[in-house]
Amino acid sequence: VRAVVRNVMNREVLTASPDESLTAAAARLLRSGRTALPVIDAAGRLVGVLSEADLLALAMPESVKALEDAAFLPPGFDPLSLSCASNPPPTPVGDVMHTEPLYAVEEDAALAEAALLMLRHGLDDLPVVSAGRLVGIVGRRDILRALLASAGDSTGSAP
Amino acid sequence: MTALQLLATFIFLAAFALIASEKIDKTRVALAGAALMLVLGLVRQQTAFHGSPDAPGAGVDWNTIFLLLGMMIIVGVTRHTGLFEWLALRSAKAVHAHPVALILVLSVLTAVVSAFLDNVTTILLIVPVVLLIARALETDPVPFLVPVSIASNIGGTATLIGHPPNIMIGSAGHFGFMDFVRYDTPPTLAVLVAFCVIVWLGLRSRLRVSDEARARVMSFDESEVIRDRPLLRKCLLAMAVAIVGFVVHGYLGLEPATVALAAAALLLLMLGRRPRVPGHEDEYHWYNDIEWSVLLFFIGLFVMVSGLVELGVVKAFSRWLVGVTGGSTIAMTLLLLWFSAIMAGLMDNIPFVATMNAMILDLPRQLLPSGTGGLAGAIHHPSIMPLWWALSLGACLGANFTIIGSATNIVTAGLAARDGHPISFKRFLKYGVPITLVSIVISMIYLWLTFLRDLPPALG
Repeated sequence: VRAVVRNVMNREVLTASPDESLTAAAARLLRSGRTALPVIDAAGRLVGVLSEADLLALAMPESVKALEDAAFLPPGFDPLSLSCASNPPPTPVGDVMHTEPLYAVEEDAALAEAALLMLRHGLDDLPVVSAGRLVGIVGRRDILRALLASAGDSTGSAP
Repeated sequence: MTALQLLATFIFLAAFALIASEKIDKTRVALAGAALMLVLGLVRQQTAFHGSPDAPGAGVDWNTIFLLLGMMIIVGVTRHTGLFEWLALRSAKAVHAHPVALILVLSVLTAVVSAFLDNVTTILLIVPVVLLIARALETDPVPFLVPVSIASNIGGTATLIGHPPNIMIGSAGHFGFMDFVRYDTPPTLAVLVAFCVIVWLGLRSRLRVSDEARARVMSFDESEVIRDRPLLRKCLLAMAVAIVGFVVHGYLGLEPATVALAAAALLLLMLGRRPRVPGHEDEYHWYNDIEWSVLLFFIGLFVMVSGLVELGVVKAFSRWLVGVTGGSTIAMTLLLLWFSAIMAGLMDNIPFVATMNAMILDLPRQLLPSGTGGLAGAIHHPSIMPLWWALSLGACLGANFTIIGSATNIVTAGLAARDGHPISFKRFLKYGVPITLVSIVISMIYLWLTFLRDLPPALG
């Protein structure tokens, strides 16, 4: 098995469009079982990513983000909300998706390239592109599964 | 003016305008201006970096840089202990979350902390807690945030280390920590009292919150805020060493910068090699919290001002000031107080203070017979002395005129806007203008009573 992203990625990928509502896209993200939902335009080009982390950050008021630690908040008082004052609904996906920098890998990239992006930027899933068009998604688990399989091969082939 | 003087003045004023416009990061402007002056030969590098006996006010003021650096290290570590959040929550609960009392107690707390530590750091830590308290109270946070920000600038005026302009004035004017306690703390306390009265009168009948909302604030658990007690103890020890050191530095013959550096070094040694910070376990160094860009901004400005000093531009300016005021100390003091306050209200006050320091240092040559009591005697002469304090009070308190007058106000407005509560320029003025006008009038009365009424008639 050549260790390139194409061989470990998942081709069945749920996506969002920049114009649809955030809540619809968020619901699809949860259904997808991935941590990130690639956002594509009508031509299938990757234009952004909507991740669980982006959504949590969106729901969190700046006053909480600026704290070192929120342990003092009492149980009955929770300032998290997907429709806070700075973000009144309905919000289109295009307004909140992650665009710059847009982390993605080419389908013929080495697994190490994908793994490094994941570790360095705390990403669980990366969109996979070919000539700018979305062709799949690859996650930490996909890479680990491939590594485990090849480790199994090498121990299996030992005499 | 010679061509070289005009060129240096042009570079300086252009940098001044760019800094005021806030279009380009001020540190880049200051460093570019400094580089330009050096490359064009408007100032010799020796003078710009190290000063020169015949150019008072020239040279990078390493006193200021190291005092800022030392205090940045101490506050950069302390901010991670949760001490400031703990203080804010404790004071909120002490007044049972009664809204106007809450505003006053948080403001006074911020003023006291700001007198000893960097104002912007203080505000960055207090404002999120204030926003959450207002959210729990289900009330508009702006009447809480604006007074807290204003109080930070007032508190910083009280001491040598409270506000960068005071650090610069202390260094240029050879004033120690206790000189600021003697001359700046009394008027600052009077201003703080007046501020509390104005806030109370303005807001007492406007804020109503439910008992239920107050109970919510009372249920905040401040005991969860202090995350690392051994770290807190080390920070408190370093701060105590610094403050005791500042109080006695004159008797020990040590400069304030030495005290700050020693306390910071002591703290760093106590922390050991790999400090533990919640949330920053990897690749973290205490030095990350030092605001290097601020230090570089100061260095750039000092180099530019050195050019103005060496070419005689500052001297021309001080001659002009003596000319228009007839050399009257009263006229110069009042002019400087109001001029500094207005300039501080319109832009970052550091470039202005750096220039005015150089000008005041040149004044003894214009006003006094040469050789009057040596350098220290000349710049502390009764005809010069009130100018330093007028500059300090004007530049520090004037920063509250507008929302762009101080970094503190800008940071508060930024955090509030991102939390969904923008503070408009106009809304800030409703608080800033009355409080600042009263502050400056109090400063005038104070300067009159302390310095100006006892001047020999020849100097008045």
